[in-house]
Amino acid sequence: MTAWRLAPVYVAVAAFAIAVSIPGGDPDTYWHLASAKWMVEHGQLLRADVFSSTVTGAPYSVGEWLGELVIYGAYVLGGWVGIALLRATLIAVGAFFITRVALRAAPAPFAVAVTAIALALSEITWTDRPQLFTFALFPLLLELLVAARSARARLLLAVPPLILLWTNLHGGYALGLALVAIFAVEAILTRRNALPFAAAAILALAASFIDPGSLGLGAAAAHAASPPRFIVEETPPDVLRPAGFVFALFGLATLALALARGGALLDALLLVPLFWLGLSAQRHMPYFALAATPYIAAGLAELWWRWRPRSRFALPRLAIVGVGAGLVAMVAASVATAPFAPVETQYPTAARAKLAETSGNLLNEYDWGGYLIWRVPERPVFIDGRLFLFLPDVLTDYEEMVFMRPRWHDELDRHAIAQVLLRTDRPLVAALRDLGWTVVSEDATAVLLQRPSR
Amino acid sequence: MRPLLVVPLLLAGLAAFAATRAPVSDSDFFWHLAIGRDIAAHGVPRVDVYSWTVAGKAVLPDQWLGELLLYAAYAIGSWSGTIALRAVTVGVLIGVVVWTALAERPRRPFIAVLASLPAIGISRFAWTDRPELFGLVCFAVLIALLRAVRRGSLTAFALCVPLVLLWANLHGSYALGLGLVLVVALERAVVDPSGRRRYAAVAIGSVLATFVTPAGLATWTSSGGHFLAPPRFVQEEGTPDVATLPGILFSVALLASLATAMLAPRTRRRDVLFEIAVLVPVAFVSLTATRHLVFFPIAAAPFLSSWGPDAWNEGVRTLREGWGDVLARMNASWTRGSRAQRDPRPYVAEGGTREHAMPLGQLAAEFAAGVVAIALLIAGIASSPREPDLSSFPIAALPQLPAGAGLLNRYDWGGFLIWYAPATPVFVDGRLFPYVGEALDDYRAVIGLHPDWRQVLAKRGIRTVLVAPSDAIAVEGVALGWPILARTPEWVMLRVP
Repeated sequence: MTAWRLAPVYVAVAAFAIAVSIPGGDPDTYWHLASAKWMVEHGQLLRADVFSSTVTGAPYSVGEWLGELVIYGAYVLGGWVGIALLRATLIAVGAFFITRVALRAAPAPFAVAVTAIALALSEITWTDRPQLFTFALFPLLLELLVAARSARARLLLAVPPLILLWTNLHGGYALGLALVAIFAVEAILTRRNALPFAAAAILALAASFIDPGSLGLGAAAAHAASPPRFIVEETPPDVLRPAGFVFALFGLATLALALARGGALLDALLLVPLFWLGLSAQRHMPYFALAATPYIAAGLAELWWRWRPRSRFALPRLAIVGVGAGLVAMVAASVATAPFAPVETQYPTAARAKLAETSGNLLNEYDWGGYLIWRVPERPVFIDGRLFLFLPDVLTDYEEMVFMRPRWHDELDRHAIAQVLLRTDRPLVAALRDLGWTVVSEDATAVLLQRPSR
Repeated sequence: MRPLLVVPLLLAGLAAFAATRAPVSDSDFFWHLAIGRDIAAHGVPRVDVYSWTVAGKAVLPDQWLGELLLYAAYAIGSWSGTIALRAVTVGVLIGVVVWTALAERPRRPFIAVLASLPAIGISRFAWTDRPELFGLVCFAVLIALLRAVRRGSLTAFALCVPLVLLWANLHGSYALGLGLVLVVALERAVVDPSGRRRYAAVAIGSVLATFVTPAGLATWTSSGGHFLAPPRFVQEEGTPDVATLPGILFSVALLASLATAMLAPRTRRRDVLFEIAVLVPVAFVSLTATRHLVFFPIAAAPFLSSWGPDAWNEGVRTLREGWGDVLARMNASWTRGSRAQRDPRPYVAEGGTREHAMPLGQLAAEFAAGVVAIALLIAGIASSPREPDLSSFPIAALPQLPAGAGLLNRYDWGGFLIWYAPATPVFVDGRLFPYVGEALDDYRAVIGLHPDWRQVLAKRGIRTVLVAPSDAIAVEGVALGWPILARTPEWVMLRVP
């Protein structure tokens, strides 16, 4: 079984190779980059909006400032290649640690197989945003806590600094705090290492306040309890689609194995709330899958051994070397052929040049806000993926206009909209064409309409 | 030991009473009623006669019996008859759910009620006047039968065949029942190999029973279509949202089941496969659409009633292992008095549901509970709303509706128009599946002002639109100066020039 100790490294390398070959192009990447760029250029934290025409100067959270700076640093150093390498590295870190956690609970073949499926599910969150840090740090913290629970309580010393770092990287630190709290509750209830775990939880909580503009635990909880459903990743899982189906498989496998073999108090404390979190929004599904991986792998192994009690999973050394060489070749091929430039076919690329030539207030598609902030910085956006900044008034006005609710015309005038850049099938586009707005640019993706001169 | 019927009867009566409080108002009810009327008058319809967009197109009579029942209730007692049918159905549903949970622990009615609460709460969202409610009762009865099968009753398993037959003629949700019968038959065959032939016979009988409907083989297409490709734009077919009240109740049942399964002691090897066979598929089906959420809490109620207290005791035991000395010092009397201390062995359900001689007092209590339940039902029906609540429908537009083809109506109002304006065929209505494809695409193109909306308007020959004032087509129509035939804050009727 010794050879299987390399499994975390192999899984991490495979994850790296896959992650580096995924093209970027997430709309939020752009405004994160723009925010970091502004901070570097001005030598200060960005504490107010500078990108929109609707909420200019409005204060907003800079809780992810460090995450944004790290991503921007990667961009400055290596352009889109740098971002792709950072992405792949963070995913590899997450893959490495979740495999280690699974290996603690189950024999390697089961641990690796279930980890691979969990990682495949998590692919929906592999976008170039600070949430990548949460993807890496969640398994790392889980590994730390599991190891500390086994016999190495001194490892808990690393928890508060880790939470401090995480808090400044991404709002998902709340998940880390919840993880620490769960282990602390279990330790207290069973009275095993209660003091160190409780102390770690308290110190971690204190560390989470050391952030210039943290989202705050209350806001994080409110966000989880009432996600903005009009954003796709914030909608509930659809179990009839691939990612939702895999998530359901994890949930139902956990339920079936719990019925078949029970579980420890920690399993219940950990998996029950994370299952709920996964059910609450698609973007949270991977965290349940990652946390359930050791439990499911151990359960499957137990069932396997009931069926085939004499099974051994030894690997010939040659196979290990062969797989290692294959993975190295895979990484080399992925890096060499990766589409490092972001895919921007879903954006209004044709309208870019025309936008730069025009002026006045622009009403843009929500999903294109980030792209416009980065690619056409001279034109402030109406709305973009920073969402909370625009709640509730701007978003309401946006919907009123784009979906042609009764006050759409008044809102268009009130905001003095000079150009409209929307998808071609929006109701407003049809109405504005009827009203004689000029088509400045149009392709299959977008249409840019100019208000007629009075 | 047979569980006392007092608690199920009282809760059934209360639920029936509560079900009479709401007036008839569901849009889909009206087209079900119209179909029921046509079945009573002309037999089972095979083609559409209510719309002008898919007129003459084949329709599936997959809920014909449920529709006939709804119409019969209406024909006998008008709107009060409809409410009475609803109340009786809800009462039976709740009574069966609680009884099934109680049958797992006949001496612990409080636990049974607690375990049934998510199911009772979430079923409230299905208390509509539709065949769906009959399907829910069938599901609850099936769960009761299957749990009796687990306790060794072959008769209960045999009863699944007529239940599936009835269900297949009442509502499309029979497919879930059939699936469960097949899975449990397989599970029984594994647990009890000597009875394989009998289990196979029930499974085959149940499959064949689903073909004994006017729709024949086609009845499977409706259920399959709904299950595999639910129309997400219909609210009740949307993905389940745990931030809503039905979603919260569902997740309480699901997560309580998961926690219970994890914490309960491992002494139920005989039961394990059965619980997996029932709970896991039902959990998946529940996750597919909002309207399916209700199934899991119903299936989980007897499980929670049976395993829940053991899981709780295990949790208390764990706590006592860690903190026993401290608790002892604190003289925690509740710990000493708990069942965990008195009887640390997990509860094992007794075999069979054979009746034993019951004391006269218990029979009298059950009789009294039955009388109270019936009294509640009668009182509820007597004081129920006499007329339907049509406030969400364009009732004032009815006199001005043009006869014949040409009206584009809002999807939600189709059923209402079918019943109240039979001379004006609808563009679309809640039957949905006949419209999937061109008719539905055209409806969405016009109402959402898609780029081709003008072409659709011309192609279809739409002469009048009856929509909400906030719909894009209404806003655009008003802006274009289309004549407003009538309007209120809730609806607007425009003539297309």
